[in-house]
Amino acid sequence: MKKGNISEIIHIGCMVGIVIMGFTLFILLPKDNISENEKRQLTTSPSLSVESFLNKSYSKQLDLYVNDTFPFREQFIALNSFYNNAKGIRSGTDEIQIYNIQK
Amino acid sequence: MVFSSLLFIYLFLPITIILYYSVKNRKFRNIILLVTSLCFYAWGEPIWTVLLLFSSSIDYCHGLYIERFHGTKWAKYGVVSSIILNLSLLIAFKYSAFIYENVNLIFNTSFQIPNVTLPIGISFYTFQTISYTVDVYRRKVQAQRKFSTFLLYVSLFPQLVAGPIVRYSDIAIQIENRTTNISQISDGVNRFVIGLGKKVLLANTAGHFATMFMERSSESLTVTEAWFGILMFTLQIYFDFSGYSDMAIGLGKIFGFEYKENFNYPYVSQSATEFWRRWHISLGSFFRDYVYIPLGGNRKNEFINLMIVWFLTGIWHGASWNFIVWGLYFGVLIYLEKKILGKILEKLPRIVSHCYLLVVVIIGWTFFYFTNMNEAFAYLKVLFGFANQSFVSTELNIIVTNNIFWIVFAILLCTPLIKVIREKVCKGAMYKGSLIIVNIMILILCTAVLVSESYNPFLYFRF
Repeated sequence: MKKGNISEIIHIGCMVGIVIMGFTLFILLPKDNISENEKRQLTTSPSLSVESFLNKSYSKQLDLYVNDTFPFREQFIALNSFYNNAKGIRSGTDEIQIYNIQK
Repeated sequence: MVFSSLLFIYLFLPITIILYYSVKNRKFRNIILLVTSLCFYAWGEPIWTVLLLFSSSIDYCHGLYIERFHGTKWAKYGVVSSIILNLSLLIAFKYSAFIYENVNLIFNTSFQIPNVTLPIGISFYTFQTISYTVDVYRRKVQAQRKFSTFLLYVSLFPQLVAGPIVRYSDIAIQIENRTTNISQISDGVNRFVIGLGKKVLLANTAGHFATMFMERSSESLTVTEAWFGILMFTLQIYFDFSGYSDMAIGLGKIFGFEYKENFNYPYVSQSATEFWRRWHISLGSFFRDYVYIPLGGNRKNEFINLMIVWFLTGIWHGASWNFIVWGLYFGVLIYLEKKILGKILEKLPRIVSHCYLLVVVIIGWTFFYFTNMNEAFAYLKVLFGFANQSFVSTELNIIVTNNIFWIVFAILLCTPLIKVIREKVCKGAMYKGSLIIVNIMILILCTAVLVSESYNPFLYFRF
């Protein structure tokens, strides 16, 4: 490998660092079973069997499990809601989403 | 597994990168890539991995056979047999239900419609393997002797499930002999994050708005809502597909592969011909090199050749009539542009030809979106004011105001504006520093959006 530019190394280091940190914390941190905010049970870790793998139920449940128990989930959800609010201009009365309008 | 999932970004990718860079020998690296690619495919298609292996072994054998009999009629039989077998697999898995439906409709028969699920990526890897056997026949490449190397070419996970269609001739040398350097990996990471952002932050939001309006019955749709809906679909399909291509190109670079570009700001085009030179370039060039030119190109039967190519382009996108109409629509436009329209467009101011292209593309996406042609025409009627629907809607005003920054930003990202600014203004250390910050922000924001996909506040009470 050639000696690369220092900023490129920092770039790779930061991105790979974030991903590996997410990966490590996901493995290490204890998982919640219940979300108080959502008043629901979070997806539990699926059990792997030949059948559950072949009918894709394992992969689907693992996807949900990772999403439900991702490290700092609550904080990420708060960030997402901040991001959604930052997409445009919101005034007090706009906060109510209108779903059905009689035309 | 899709690239834009937490499972891929935070589990599959770090494991693969660590494994890959923990060995120095290229042979071992290739083995790691092959095993992880097959795991990647088996994750989404556990059963049809067998089909991928079967299809690859057919083409591997055909490649060797064709090379063995170069210059004889047996080589020709070999290439024909390979094309027939590949297309048969594609027809059986992708088009059989469509064919049965239409046979039943035309001949008033009642054959049971087979319930075949489409194996992920079959349209892409079938074309890749066809390009391989044809190129061996044309002596553009040598047949690959090692099955594992050939299988790696077909199954390489960055491009396996959603393209770009990578030709063997483009990466044969890279599989056998590639070097990776820090710049390339940094570029790859950057490209992956940009693609991820396009998909998660732009395409998914645009898709949400597109569905909101395009799924409504045309009677309850205002003219502006119809325009907003189709505009959002126009953004969604571009960011979704080009984002996926960016992620594929980026992942390729991380592992030392250089793929060709697949998109080049298609919406800035000024004619349908130019649009297709900038949109899904690997598919367009596949049909040009393996169908249009062998048929005679523009030397004889130009119109028929074009119609064949565009019929195939349409149906490649899906087994449904609307895709065929969409393909032929572009075929006719491109023919007209070649004959008369192109000369007129050249003389018009840029803005006019640009508006022409946008309208043409938007009408095209309407055919693309609705599998039912009546719905497509009903939508077009609302769009162009022939349905006597009201013009504005309060709901749309609120949605546009609430998302105005996002909408402007998304539209700007369809143009090369940021690229131009980056090249002119941001140079050297400033650019590199800002790149790191922007990429960290994109990755964290994408994670937040992906985590929140499972956020279901108060929707159901399970306890």
